[in-house]
Amino acid sequence: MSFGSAVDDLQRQMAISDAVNIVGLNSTGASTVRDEGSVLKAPSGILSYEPDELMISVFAGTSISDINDELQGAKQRIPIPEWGTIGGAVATRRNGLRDSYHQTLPNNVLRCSVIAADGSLYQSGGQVVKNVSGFDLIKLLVGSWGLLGLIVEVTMRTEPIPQVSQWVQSAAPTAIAQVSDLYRPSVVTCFEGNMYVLLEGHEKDVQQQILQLDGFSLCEMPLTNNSPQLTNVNRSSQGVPHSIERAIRKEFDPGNKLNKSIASQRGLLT
Amino acid sequence: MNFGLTFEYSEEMSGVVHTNTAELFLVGQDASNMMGSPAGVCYPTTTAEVQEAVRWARAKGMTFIARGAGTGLAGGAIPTDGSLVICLTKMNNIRSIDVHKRTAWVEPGVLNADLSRRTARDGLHFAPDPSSQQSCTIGGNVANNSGGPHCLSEGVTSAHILALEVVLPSGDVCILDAESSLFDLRGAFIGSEGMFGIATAIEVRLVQNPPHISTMVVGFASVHEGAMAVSAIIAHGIIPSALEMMDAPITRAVEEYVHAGFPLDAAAMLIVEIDGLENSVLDGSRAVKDIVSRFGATSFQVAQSQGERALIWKGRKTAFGAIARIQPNYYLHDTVVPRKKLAEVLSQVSLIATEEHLQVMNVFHAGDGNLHPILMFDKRVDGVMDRVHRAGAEIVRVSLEAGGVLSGEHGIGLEKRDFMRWMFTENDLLFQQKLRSAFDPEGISNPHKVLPRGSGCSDMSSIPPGSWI
Repeated sequence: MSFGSAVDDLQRQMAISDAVNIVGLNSTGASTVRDEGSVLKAPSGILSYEPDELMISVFAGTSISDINDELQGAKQRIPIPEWGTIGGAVATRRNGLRDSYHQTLPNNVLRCSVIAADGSLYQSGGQVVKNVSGFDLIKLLVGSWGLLGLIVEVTMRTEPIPQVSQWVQSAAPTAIAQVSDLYRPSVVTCFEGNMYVLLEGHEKDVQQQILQLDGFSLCEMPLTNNSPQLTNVNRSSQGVPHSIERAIRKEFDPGNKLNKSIASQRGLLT
Repeated sequence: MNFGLTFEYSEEMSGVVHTNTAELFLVGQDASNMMGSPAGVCYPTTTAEVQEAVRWARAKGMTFIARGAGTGLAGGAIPTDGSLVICLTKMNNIRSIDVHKRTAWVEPGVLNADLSRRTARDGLHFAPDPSSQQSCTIGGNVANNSGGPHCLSEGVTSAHILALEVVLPSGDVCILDAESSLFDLRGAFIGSEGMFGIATAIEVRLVQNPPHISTMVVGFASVHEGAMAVSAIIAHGIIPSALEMMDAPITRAVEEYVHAGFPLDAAAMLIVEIDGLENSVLDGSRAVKDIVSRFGATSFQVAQSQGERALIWKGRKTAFGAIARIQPNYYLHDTVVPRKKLAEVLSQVSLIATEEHLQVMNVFHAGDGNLHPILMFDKRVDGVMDRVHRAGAEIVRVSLEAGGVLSGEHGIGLEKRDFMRWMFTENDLLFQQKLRSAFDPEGISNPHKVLPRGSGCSDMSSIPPGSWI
């Protein structure tokens, strides 16, 4: 599989570099931590979009807002907050506020193409919506912070834009119990003492759900900073799982070439 | 045959590892047409006992394989190399259910349908619903990242697993969840077909039962029109909770067996189910009715009661039992193609079967593009297995040529291991092997599966003895 000269060039640069910093649009701030070495960025652009298949393939450097602009015409979207690139969202597992009742980011990534630390290209997944062919490198790549390679291509599941999307909020003590009676709201989140709920779907269903709630008021999307920060990620750097992570790093990047600062911060220099 | 049973039992495992011929025969097979060669089988009841079994196998220089109910179709549970079978069916406790958080901790031997039966009174269920859900285990669902009809809207098993307690091939035990590591080791473990270790406890997500459901059965004059309607429904922006297709031969077989009221005059039928809140179900069902009539639907029925709905699903999910009335053996295939290629690939599958003089029936998850052609045969007929395997390989080839993949939900196991190169490059396979090596550097957990031989991988140096019929 070839993605053209831009990816070929990146492969060559990766192969000859001793240290590589992977960057996107720097929406998480992670790529301001620069090490010495090359700075590599995935190309951008839409490779294929098939609205009827609910699927889009893009270069990983494509911004999410550009993707959603393309999807808008067919009344579709990808349910990820609109900042940064798709590659960055995948690498940092940026789900946004969408709660777990809905298919969050890892379940919506159908294929990834990656330049490995040695400059070779590897791929996992396929351009279909259901796939258990081989081990699931996609789940590993989502949230890998560039430590397993430079993601250059992503195929995503798209979804129809719901007829209505409405945020509601409440600070009432009864809010939690009420929300738990709702049928699968799109988002439930607490922020500064308020409970925020996103209701989506058929206009009449959303209206009925709002009527069912007591003490809630309509609102805009809460402006929380839900950008994933590596330093805020409360994950253990010891124990058996950490030793598996180190083993994975050793297999995928034996020369400790990729995103050294991040690797070092997470105890993943091997 | 020498199963390598010359080792001496250590004191603590004496009487725990069973080696009698009858038991080994049973655990030597799964729901595929293959037969393996286990050295012994044990039935741990606790995580500590699983650890003990793994450590014992290591000490004896043996490989091991975890086993659930043996309903897998790709040979993933076929023991190779004189493995120790660690059978988890006695670890079948639901450890806890948290109705408010909508989660549960279960042991791997809990049957899929049993969990949803237990949580029904709280209006909750475990979403993955393979056709074998009455008999398959949740541990097996994790190993295969299993699907099912309702995974169209709900997502497959990995979307419903929050955490895993795992005994690694080293014998160590750990929890894999969102907090335990930066990388999503939980996600990587799901679907690893028993080759990364053994899950001994599983935290699952439970989902709310839908308040409204509309289940429609639609007949078509041709498979082609049915398949086109499937694409059109999805393209319209409707994601049904399930969208299944059955062709005429399987519909007839099922109808004689279950009497679900399926349309016997149709060349193909769809089961379309839409669930959720009242108005989205009403509008969605109306839109489906419009779309299918544009594609020449010959009949349109809507389940009028929970009883009628249950009967429709009973018909769909017992399709494989119905086949036994036609031929003694069947080979159930599993590939995925882009939805728009469904009609084309189905007609190619039909040609392939005709060329190999085999009967074929189709009952599958059309909404996902997930094909399940069933080749029927009598294995006592001379040379029939060659024809079955040739047809199987051709079905894989035409699916891949249509832009599809090897498996949608059954996994690779032994069945499709040697087709992996048709889909992946050597480098793709190398990186899959790297992940395997990080979990199991010595390649002792369910060796010889998934990754094809000869790609420089640790457990691929020898051909698994006796693993194929």
